[in-house]
Amino acid sequence: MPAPSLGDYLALSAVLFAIGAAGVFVRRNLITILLSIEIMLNAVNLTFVAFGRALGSADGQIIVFFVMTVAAAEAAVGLAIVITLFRHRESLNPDSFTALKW
Amino acid sequence: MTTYPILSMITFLPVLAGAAIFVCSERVARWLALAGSLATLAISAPLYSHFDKGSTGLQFVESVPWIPSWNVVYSVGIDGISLPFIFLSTVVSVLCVGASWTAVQMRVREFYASLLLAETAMIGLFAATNLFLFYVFWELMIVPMFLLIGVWGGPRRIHAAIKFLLFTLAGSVLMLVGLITLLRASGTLDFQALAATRPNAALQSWLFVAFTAAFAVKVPMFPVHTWLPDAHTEAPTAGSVILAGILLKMGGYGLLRIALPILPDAVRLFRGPMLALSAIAIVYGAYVTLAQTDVKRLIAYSSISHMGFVTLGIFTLNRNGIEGAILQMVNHGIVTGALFLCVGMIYERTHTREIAAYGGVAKLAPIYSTFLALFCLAAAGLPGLNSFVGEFLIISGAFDTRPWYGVMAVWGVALGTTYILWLYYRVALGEVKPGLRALRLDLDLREVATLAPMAALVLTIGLYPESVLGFLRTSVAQLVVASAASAAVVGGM
Amino acid sequence: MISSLNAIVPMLCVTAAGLAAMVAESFRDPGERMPIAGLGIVGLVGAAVATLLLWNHNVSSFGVVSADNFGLFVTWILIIVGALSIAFSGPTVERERLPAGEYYALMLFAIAGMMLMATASDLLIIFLALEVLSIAVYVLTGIRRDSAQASEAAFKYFLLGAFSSTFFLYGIAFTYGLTGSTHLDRVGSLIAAQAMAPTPMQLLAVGFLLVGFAFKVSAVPFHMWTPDAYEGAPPAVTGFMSTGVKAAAFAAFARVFLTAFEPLRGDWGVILSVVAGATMIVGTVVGVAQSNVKRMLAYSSIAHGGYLLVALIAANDVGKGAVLFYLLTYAVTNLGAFGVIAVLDNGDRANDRVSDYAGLWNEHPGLAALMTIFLLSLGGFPPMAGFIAKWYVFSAAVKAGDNALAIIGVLTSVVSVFFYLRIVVMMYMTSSSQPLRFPAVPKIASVALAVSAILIFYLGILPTRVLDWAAESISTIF
Repeated sequence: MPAPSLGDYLALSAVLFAIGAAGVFVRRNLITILLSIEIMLNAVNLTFVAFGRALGSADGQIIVFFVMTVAAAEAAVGLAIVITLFRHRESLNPDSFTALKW
Repeated sequence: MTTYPILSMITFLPVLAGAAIFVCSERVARWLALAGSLATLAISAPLYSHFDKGSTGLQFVESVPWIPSWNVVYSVGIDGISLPFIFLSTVVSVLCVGASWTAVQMRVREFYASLLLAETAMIGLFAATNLFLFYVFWELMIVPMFLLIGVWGGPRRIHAAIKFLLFTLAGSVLMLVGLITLLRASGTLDFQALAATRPNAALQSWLFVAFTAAFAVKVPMFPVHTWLPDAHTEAPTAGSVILAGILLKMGGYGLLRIALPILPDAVRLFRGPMLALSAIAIVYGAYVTLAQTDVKRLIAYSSISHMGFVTLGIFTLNRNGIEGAILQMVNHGIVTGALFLCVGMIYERTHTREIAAYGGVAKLAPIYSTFLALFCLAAAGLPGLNSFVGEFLIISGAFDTRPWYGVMAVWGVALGTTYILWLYYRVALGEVKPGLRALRLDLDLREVATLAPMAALVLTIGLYPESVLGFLRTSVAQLVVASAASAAVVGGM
Repeated sequence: MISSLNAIVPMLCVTAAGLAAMVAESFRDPGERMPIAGLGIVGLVGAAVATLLLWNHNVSSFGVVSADNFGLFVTWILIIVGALSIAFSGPTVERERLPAGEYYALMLFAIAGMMLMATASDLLIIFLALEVLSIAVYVLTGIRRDSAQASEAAFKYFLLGAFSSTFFLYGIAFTYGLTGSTHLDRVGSLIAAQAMAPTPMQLLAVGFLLVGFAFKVSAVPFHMWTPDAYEGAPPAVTGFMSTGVKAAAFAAFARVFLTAFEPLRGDWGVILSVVAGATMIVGTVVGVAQSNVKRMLAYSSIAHGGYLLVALIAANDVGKGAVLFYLLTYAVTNLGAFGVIAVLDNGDRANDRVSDYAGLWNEHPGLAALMTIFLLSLGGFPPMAGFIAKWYVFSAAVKAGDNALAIIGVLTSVVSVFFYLRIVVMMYMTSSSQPLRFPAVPKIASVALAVSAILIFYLGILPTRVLDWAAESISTIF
């Protein structure tokens, strides 16, 4: 079996990115939506690593560390906001948030 | 020629006085406004004594780089066409201050500050010698006028103010588009330079539509006149006087300053429709005037008719017509302004503008009725009074080029005489209405002092029209030659 | 080497102030009043001095932060935004009993992030800066934890912000794959060296970056979060994020697209023109229908984003300073308007519906006058700064041949005047039935409002010097 090429990795990450993006729009649970965003970020990470490998430089992998750190910080804030929101609404369904028009 | 920056001084003195009003008490506000506007009038005196009537160029020129990186210059200067309007602005402002002395009791400081800001905008507009500055003052005029109508106006003031704004802004946006296009095509915004490097004929047509739309709203020409009756009726007296006296003239002035010299080919192209619209305004305005029952609305519609004469005169494109148009603008400013002052004075006492509520005022208020009679006769175009000269010049100009429009104009004069004298008849003559008897109707000294200068101007210009015409003759001749020269060039091509 | 730190000194000052604010908060007894806002001002003054000293030196730190005049000009704008926002925050923080230390610390960290974003010359650093400022602003949006509306606003803002960040990052990934670098200079020279016809990879990189930026500057069709976030956040925060975030995002936008992706201008210019036109139209037309002042100004700020996009598209010899000048003008003006809203916010009553402004002139004539100045400047009336800024943008667009954009811009800015003047009509021409609903105005806030108004007139009447600065500054990047 031949080793996967750069194109294969890119395709995989594009599929992951699309799954994540679709999840943000179709899922009806705040936590799942957050996880979908994480999937998108990790799809991008995969892209970075694949490009780094193809270009023969370590930069791609170093960037991934930056992104993971940022993602962690973002997830922490996101979950905190979800908790305050849950306290008000006792629900994780975005359809129940009606104080503001979309 | 003077050595100090006289035009800038008279432009900005009012707004400085307006700013000063905010730091003093309400009682002082009136006096400060009066002092500011009187001082402006006083220091403008050298403009007339030092004006060189034979010169074709701009006089009292000041030019300071303003935004050098855009090649925008603060430049002011006057010629024979702008001088009468500056005179009108300074005089009318003083009278507005006087007319509001007792009528405005609410938010006095803000009122006078708006009034003085408007004066700065008017004078600046007439003194500007480049289009950028012209546009700045044009826009600057909108805000104080909007507030004057909307805050101190009558019961439907908000409606009137917003309608005014809607029309004016729609006009200015077209002007702004035209302005930017013109800048791109010619690389300059200076009036004289623009007149020397005219855009090509196709572009001129577009520019003419854009600019004339803005000016037509201000004049107001038929069919964009509908804001005027509302604005006039709801505005406080001073607001109506400024509207009639000066704001409407900004449109006519714009046509003379921008359309004729810079876009002459388009002017010739659109001349027919413009003349037709003017004639419609004259006759239609006069008929609608006949049907009015509200004094202010009546005068407002008569303004539409009278301003129709102005645009008719301008688009005859000959000397008589244009001189007549300028004179007519000055006269209309004086006479209609004075009529609004008269209406305002009696409204303060009776609190009604219904013509039917009046009658026999002449018996109760002889001084008032004398003034009213003078201004009504002037508006009707009685020989010996000021409007006659302007209308006569316009009509003779029209007969020189398009006789049929001359006929329409004569018809308009006849109708004008009818409605204005009928107004006088209904208000001043006849049976004394019972409600009026209890009121002290006649004028006090302050009101006489407000109307007297207007009466003096009516008589002076009527008996000696050269007092105004002398200033504009050279400039108008040059304007006519300039637009004709272009026609010759185009014809030769 | 110490000298290599020079370029980040302004950010260090602001960050230090933010840390000090946090420490101060932790030593504060409950109920004790501490001049924590003052710490922020000290930090900003330090940053201002540092910016002044760095001016014209074009220093660069670590090869990824370059304090060129372009970045420093934006830093200046951000310092002004920060100082005014802190001044307007006082009443809100006090009335709503927000944790002052956390509030100001978050604001200062956000400013530091914005400054980093404005001066970063590496895509990865831009991403980091974007996240630093975004995370702080998400929290600020929801800082009124007891308000359901604020929490919802924070969540919506967070969700779409995080979502758009992934797009931005994906764009960086493609750029990296394309050029092997994230540094803007290298990216630019490599793209310029590549084939003339754009490759799919280039288009993907440009496209994803565009989407990411479009979210951040709330360009149509990625503007949906804006009105919600603006309405839900405390007004001082709304003012802060509508100006600061926009300034930082536009600075990075300009730097990325006018330097690194300049060779592909033919491709992104077209897309961006459509986006700019749609942004101006949607922002204005939907704005007319709003009855809440904050939502109205949110749509107005969307429309102003459209004008800024026009400036970006038309960036040529004539108009390249327009982006910077417009940003400055918009920041001062919009912040002033939100400052008035913040001052009028009464705790239990937000006073943020258009009808709440009825009769404001009777109660607070000064505030009404200031609000009028801000609104007229937003509408582009002379002699206010907004007129000069809009003139600059539209004449640049006409010179660049984008007549359609210029005409849309002029038309929408006139339509926008109507909704600005609706507030003016309310303030001056209608009287309210319930008197004394507005709180007293704190001194610091009124001074800040007056300063904004003076700046607006200064920029409107004597714009020459600042215009020249703006034009010279942007010359340092392209």
